[in-house]
Order: sequence, then C-alpha cells, then structure tokens
Amino acid sequence: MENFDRSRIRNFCIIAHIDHGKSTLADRIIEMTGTLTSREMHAQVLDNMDLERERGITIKAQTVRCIYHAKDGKEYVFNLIDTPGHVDFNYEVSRSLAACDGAILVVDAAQGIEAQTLANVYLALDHDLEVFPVINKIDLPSAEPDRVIAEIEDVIGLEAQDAPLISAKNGINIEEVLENIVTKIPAPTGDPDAPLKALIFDSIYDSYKGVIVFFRVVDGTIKKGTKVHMWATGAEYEVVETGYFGAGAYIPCEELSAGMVGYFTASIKNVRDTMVGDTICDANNMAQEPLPGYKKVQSMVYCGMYPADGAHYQDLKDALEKLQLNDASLFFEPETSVALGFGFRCGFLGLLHLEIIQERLEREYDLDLVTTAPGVIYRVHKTNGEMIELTNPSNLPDPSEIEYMEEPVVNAEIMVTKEFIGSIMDLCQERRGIYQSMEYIEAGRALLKYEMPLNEIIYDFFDALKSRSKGYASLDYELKGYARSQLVKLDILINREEVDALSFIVFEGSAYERGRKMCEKLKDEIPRHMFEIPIQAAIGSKIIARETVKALRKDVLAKCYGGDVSRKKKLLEKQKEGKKRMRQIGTVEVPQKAFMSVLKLDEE
Amino acid sequence: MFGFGKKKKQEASVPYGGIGENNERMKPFTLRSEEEYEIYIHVPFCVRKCRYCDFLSMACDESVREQYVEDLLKEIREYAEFLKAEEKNVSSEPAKSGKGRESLDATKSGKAPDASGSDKKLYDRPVRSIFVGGGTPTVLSAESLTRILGQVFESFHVKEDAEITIECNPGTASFEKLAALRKAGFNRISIGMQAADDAMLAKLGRIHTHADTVECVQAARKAGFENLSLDLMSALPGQSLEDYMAGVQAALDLKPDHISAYSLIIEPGTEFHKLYGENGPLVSELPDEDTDREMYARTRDLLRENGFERYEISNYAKPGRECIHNMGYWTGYDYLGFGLGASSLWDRTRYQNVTRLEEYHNQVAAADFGKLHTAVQKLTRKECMEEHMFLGLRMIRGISKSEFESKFQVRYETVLGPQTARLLKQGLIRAEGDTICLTDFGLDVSNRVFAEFLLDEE
Repeated sequence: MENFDRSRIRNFCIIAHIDHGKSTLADRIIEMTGTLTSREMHAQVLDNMDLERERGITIKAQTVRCIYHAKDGKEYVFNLIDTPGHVDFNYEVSRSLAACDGAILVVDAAQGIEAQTLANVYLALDHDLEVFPVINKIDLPSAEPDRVIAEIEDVIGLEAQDAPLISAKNGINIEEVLENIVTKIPAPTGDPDAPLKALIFDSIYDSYKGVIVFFRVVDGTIKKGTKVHMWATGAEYEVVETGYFGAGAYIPCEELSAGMVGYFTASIKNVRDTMVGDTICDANNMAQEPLPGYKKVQSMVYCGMYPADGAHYQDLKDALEKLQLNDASLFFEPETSVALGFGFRCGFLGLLHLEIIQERLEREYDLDLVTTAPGVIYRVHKTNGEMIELTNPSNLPDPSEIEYMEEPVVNAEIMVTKEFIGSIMDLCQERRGIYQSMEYIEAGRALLKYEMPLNEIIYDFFDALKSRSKGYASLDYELKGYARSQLVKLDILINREEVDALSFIVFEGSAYERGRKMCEKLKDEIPRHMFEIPIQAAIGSKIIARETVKALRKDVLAKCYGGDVSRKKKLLEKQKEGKKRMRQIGTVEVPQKAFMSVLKLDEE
Repeated sequence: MFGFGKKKKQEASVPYGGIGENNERMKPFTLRSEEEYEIYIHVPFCVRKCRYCDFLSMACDESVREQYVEDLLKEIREYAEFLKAEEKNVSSEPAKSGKGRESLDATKSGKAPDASGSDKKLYDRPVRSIFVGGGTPTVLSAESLTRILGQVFESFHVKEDAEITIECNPGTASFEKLAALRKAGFNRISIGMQAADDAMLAKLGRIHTHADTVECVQAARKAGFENLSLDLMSALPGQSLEDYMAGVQAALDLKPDHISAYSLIIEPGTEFHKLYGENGPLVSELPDEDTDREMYARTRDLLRENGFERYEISNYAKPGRECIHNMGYWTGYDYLGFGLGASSLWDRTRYQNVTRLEEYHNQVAAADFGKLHTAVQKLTRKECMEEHMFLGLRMIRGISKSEFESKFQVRYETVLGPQTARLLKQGLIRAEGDTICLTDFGLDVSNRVFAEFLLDEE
C-alpha cells in the first residue's frame, strides 16, 4: 500500500459553510469507500471532539485515507483532509489547503453561497487547488439547484453546470462525487528523491506517543529513523513511526514519499515544536528553502480567566496546560486581579476559539470560570519612544506617558440579502467601519466590504449582525494591520472602588454609551445591599455614567409559625448559597455572572 | 429514619465539643420541650378562599366537613395511642430503635399498651397550649369543635392553665357558637379582622365587613373570651399609610389584648399573584418598601402608646398576653400537629401530614402514620442550633447565649462568634449582657441576619 502509484493518489479537502454538510459528505465518502463498516460508522466520524460534534464545526484538522475502486477499474487512494471551518482558524485552513491538490466545494441547494464559503474558495484558488462544486441537500423542499448553480458560476466563476446534485444526508449521488474526485482532482506531483520537504498542517498530542504530526510530503521521503529538522522552530527529532490515517486509527507504514499524506511520531513533548505551516526537512539532507506560507500564529483576542472558586487555581492551570499540549495557538500567563484573585490572561485566535476553550475547561475539566471582557492587543506608543503591546487593560500606562495608541483593524466581508443591506451598513457605521465596496452577487444578495477595528467585532458584533439580518448575514474577516486610534480606558467603580476586572479599552467616541450600558447592566446584576451602592463608569478621574443600586429596606418574612419552619429554612439556605457565589468587592458582594453578563450588552 | 424515643427522655445531657458531631446518633442535649409541648389542629375549610391566601384551605360542603371531623378525632386518638405504645416499647426494649412506625402494627396485633395508666409518660408531659387554626375553624359546628377539643383532653395531658386558641373569621361565629366554644374550653380567640375598610375587605376577598368584625369582637367578649387577638394586614394593594393607620386605630378601638399585623406576602399560586406578582399588571398598586416599613414602624409606635409591646416581628401584646403557643414555635418546644397538612416537631424530628384530603382520610382510616407523615426530617444538632437562632431572633427579646450554651453544651462564641461580631458591626443585631437581639433595622432585613446564622457543614 505504501508504494502506491502516485498517479492514483488524490489529496483533497471539502470546503463548505457551517451547516452546508461538509462533515456529512465526508462521512458518506468514508462509508462508500468501505473504510469503515457501517457498524464502526457513527455520524460524522471526522469531528472527534464532543464539542465539535455538538456545534457542527471542525476545530482540529482531521484526515482520513480511503481506497476507492473507480469505474475505470483502478484503485485510488483518497486522502481527505478535513479543515477547520471558522474564520478564527483562517491560517490553519490555509495550511490544510496547501496540503491538498483539489477541493470539493459543497454548497447548500437552498442557501447558496455564504461569505465564508467565498473566502475559503478564494483561499483554495490562491493555492492553485482544483475546485469542483457539489450541490447538497437537493432533497430539501426549498432546494433551488438552478439558482445556486448560476450563483456559483456568476460569483466564483466556477463551471457548475455538471455539478453533482446530492444529498449527503440521504446518500444520493455520492458515487458521482467519488468519480469526480478521480477525474477532476489532479494527482500530486513532487520528487521522491529530492531532499525532504513536508508541510505540517496539524499536530495533536497523544499521551503515549507524544506529539503526532500531520503532514503532506511535497518532495523526498520520510521514514522511521529519519532525523527531521523543523525549518522555523529548529527542533530536531528522530522519527519513531510513520503512518497514515485510517478512520479513527493510525496505521503505521514503512515510509511516506512525495505526494503522500500521513503522520510521524518522534516522542515530541510539545506541539509548539511542530507549528502548523512549518516545513519538515531531513537534517542530514537539508532542502535549500522552506515551503512558503509559514506564519507564527498570534493570539488576536485576550481575556482573563479565573476560577470561580479561588481554591481551583491549580486545577485551572493544569487544564490550560493540557489543552495547550494540543493547541499551539492557546496562550496563557498568570495574572492577578484585585477583584477576582489569581487567574490567567489567555490569548486566542478569535472569539470562537475563546468560547471553545472556555467550554472545554468547563465541561471536560469541570471548572467553574469567571471570564473578563475579551479585548484585542493594543499598541501603546509611549512618549519615551517605547512601544508596548497591551493585552490587559489594567496595564495601561498613565495617560501622561502615552503618545498615541493603535488598534488592530480587519478587512471584513459581509454577505447579506438585499433587504438587510441598509441595516447592516448602519451597523458597520456604528462600529466604526470604513466602507470599501459593495458587489451584488446576484439579484438578491450583496457582498459588503468594510475596514473595521477588531475591537468592534469582538464586542457582540456577531450577535448584532444576526439580529439585524434575521440570521441571513454571514461574516468573514482577516487582520489588515494596525491603525492609530483615539482610545481610552474605561473603569468601573462599584461603591467607589475601582474593579480592575471590569476595566476595558474603548474608542473614545463610544465610551459614554458603553459606560452607561455597563452601569445599567451592573445595576440589574448586583443585588441590593443594606446600603446604597453607586455604580460609576469613569475615564481617569472623570465620571461619565452613574447608576445606583438602592439600599435594601426590607427582607423579612412576616409570618413564621410551626408549618413554615422547613420552608423558611430552605429560603435562608438558598440565600446563603447565593452569597457563596459572590465576589467581595470592598463591602459589596458581586455575583460571578455580573462579570460576564457585561460582556454582552444588549442592543437596544 | 424515624426514631421516636430512641433514648430516655430524662437522660442527662452529655457535654461535648464542636458542632461537627454527626447526627444520626446525635448525642442528646437538654430540651425544655422534653417537658411541655403544644398541639396544633388544622381545619382546612373556609366559606370562601381569600384572594391572597395560599394556606391549605378550601370551600366545601357539610358532608366533607363531617367526615373530616371524624378523621381528625381518629387521628388524635390513634396517634396518642401510638406514641404511648412507642414509649412503652422503648422503655421495655431500650435497644430497639428507629422502628417507630412499624410498631404500630405490633400494637394492633395484640401487644396493646396498658391504657390503664401504668405508662404515664405521655401523660406526664403536659400540653401547654392548643391552637385550632385554619382555614376558618369556625366553619365547623360548635359541637364538632367541642368534640375535637374533648378528644385532645382525653388523649393528652393538657395543663390546667393551658392556652387554648381558636381562630375565627367574622361572619362565621354567632354569640351562641362562641359561648359554646368558651364553655368547651377555648380561652383565647384570634379574630381575622385584616382591615377596617369595607372596600379593602372586599378586594381581599374577605366575606365580612368591618361591622361584622365589631359584632364578632363584642360577641366573643360577651361569651367570656378574656384573651382576644386581632389579625391585621399591611402593604395591601392601593393602601396608603393613612388608610392603614386608620385600620390600626379601628383595631385599637376594639380593645383587643393582642394584635398580629402582617405585611402582605404575594404568594405564588394565589389570585393576587396573578395581579400583583412580579410581572403582574397591577404590581404598581402595592405600596413600596419604604411605605411598607413605615407601616411597621408606625404600628409599633401607635400600639406602644396604647400599651402594647412588640414581642415578635409581626406580633404585639398587652403585658402577659403574648401568644404562648406561637412563642413555643420560636423557642423550640415540641408540637404535635393534627389534621390535613399539619406540621409537627417531635423528638427533634419535623414532619408534615399529607396535604391531599382524600389521602389524609385514607391514611388516617388505615392508621398508617408512616404514610400520613411526609417530609420527615430528623434534625441534626447543627440544624437545631440554626433554628434556635433564626426562630429565637424573631422575638424582640432575642436569644440568650447562656441558654444556647446549656442547650448545646458548647460555647456560643465557638460556634457563632464570627457572624455575631460581623452583624454587630453592621448594626443589625445588638448584644446586651447575655442577650442577642435584632436592632430595628435588623428586624426589617431579618432574613439577611438569619442567613448568617446558618452554619457550614463540617
């Protein structure tokens, strides 16, 4: 099997918008090629994590090798590389694509193309991938294959007239897809005898084997004993095992040569030695240059994570370390908050990544967390010429030391149906978006392009987008760079005490509005105490908004006789329990959830 | 597990340390209730249900009431027998424990207790008060109520000078009926006046007018009730401070010996809850918190000027007229409850009778107390301490530290030192010598104080 004729290998991926059926099609391909018996098959094999399956998204790239007996009578090896499906993982997507020679574009027959589909198709075309479309869910009553075919041709410029019309869910026309893979996707090229060059597109940590590195061999050959050298990180290891991917299993093999996709292990302890996008070389026969496209992943979004119960600090640390074994893009370092105690400043690729880590910590590690408002990395240029990258608002230098500040700006693409163009443009305007262009994709839909501060996107932009377009708008963005901006640090004072965990950096022009909303929200979240509690928003020493939690005047049960005692005690116990979940800020008890509810300040 | 009479009642208390002592086989501590106890009897009937009421009560016809009286008589009789048999079993078989309920069958199957009085224990424990409440007990006939009280006298050892209260709603008791009740042994009457304004009474769904209340009070006095209490309600929908105070004055004009004045609680499941609940359409009609507290403060002041002392959060009495029965609830006396849904505290175990009438009838008919009693909860030492505090502090006089110490054989400061210091500092409680009591503000936010006296598990 290892020495399979390279002309009969097909390395490809599936591109689709969330919910358009990528994983289901992958399942069908695996099933139809007999890689798994139906008994082994359980829905969506490739999405391993519970969380992935639940959310219907792929977080880690997954790969599977299948053998297909084509109509031409020959056997083909399919390497299906499943890519992460979210804008947060854009870089990972691009590396996965780089490992492929072709891509199947899955488009929902009812919904048509979405912003993210478009972004990924362009990304695939940029990598010179052969892309062929497949129209999925044709058995839905609302399916409009003709409209969608026209859309694909008009918008992307892909030939789509003979696109297979399939239902991945119900197994309709899958055969046609398999044949298309053989005929439309080119076989890999590359020289098996040239010095080794292999592209890392993912790696995972296994407690027995150490890091398992996923790669595509571009040139050369890798086998047990090869002394590999990672171009960017400089790490060197001796290969212990090479192999390929059965569905849900690693199958060792002698060697992997140009054009092949597989894994190796080398008792590697840390995924940070094997970064996605890096080039694997042979230390004894070094290639002249690395493969193009490597970037050091950098966290875009930061927040503080604290154990709800301070006693679980060590547990949180252990859990983050374990997650990091598998996720080189997760960053964390210890920090201390006056309000929340000991915790970590954590960096993420984006909001989804943040949410995923948060959920995994809570579910897989059973931790109760308090998360502070997410922020981006600001560049603070000080008067003394020094520049600092600010990830924690509390570390902002005194205003007198600041020359100016910069914030990250993204290119945002929003696809939206015609009727909502106006309200989405308003939204972008409110969020300091700078209009770039608008293209009509077809009669009913447009692609809006804006330049927008990332800071505005991580602050409930997705929710606003969804609610203003009744769920019809989709968003994609990529970092453009940094731009100078008028930013201020907004502080929140509860009972005249500054609460560090609630401070955040905000555009000066939005500060008043945000401060007011924060105060209003906190007023609802903080229970009444036996004294009046002012809640204030301030910039420096200037108070810009205030609310008051009125003093409690009455908390008494008028009657308590023989039959009331048990019930009454339950009431008191509940009160006491509630108090336990509070954070003490001076003399004020603040519920844990107050720290998080202010992350999402509802739209009016 | 139920455990009547696990140990001899008179066993001396054993001194011991911290609160962590685990409870299944909790070491005894001295309970005053080992001497006297109280009896409560519930009558779950009304002429009509009031719109704010979440008590166990219902309107019903004559035959249901008659059956209920029979059931009640049987329950009192059989349960007294059961307890006596229990005690006898325990004193003859000290090793046997935790089998309380089953031994009733033993009683039935021939090992009947010696009813001639050789087992005097239960009789030795005197009943210090009886309270017949509801609902509206006076919807029952004087004859029925007399029989019920008679059964209690027969089955239990009721003290000569026991306080025997009946609740009564104006419009349900004629002079003749009240005279009969007085003669039967009732010596205290609690009349549900609630308000003096007829429009307000109608709004509450009361069946009477203020004139009925006046008449009822006069009839009760004439019938010989020397100890008379009036119930008032405050913070009613649309009620101003002045309206309310006029009602308090009207109550004073009736010269009662005792007044209970409760701030209205909007209970879930009531008609009022739909209107005045958190999201109800008329919730804004309720007086605000400040007014509500002002009503309490003004009540206290006006009543004090007229010779009444506030002795509990919502209760006021002329000297010596405090309700003995209710004081018992707040000071840890045992009590036996009879009737639908009635609660008991017996031998440090709380339990409640079933709350469905049909089920009550069936379990009483079968004399199956294991099934009649629900929510059986053996109190741990920690829980007893908590109750001692949050019930005791309802009374204006507060609790006595030395009493706490002798009851639980532990230093007060050891168990409650930190919260006591905190609450003192916050001005919610006051310490005077041996006593700890709530301040005026502490009374208004007493739940906050009580929650502090719940103890952590060890």
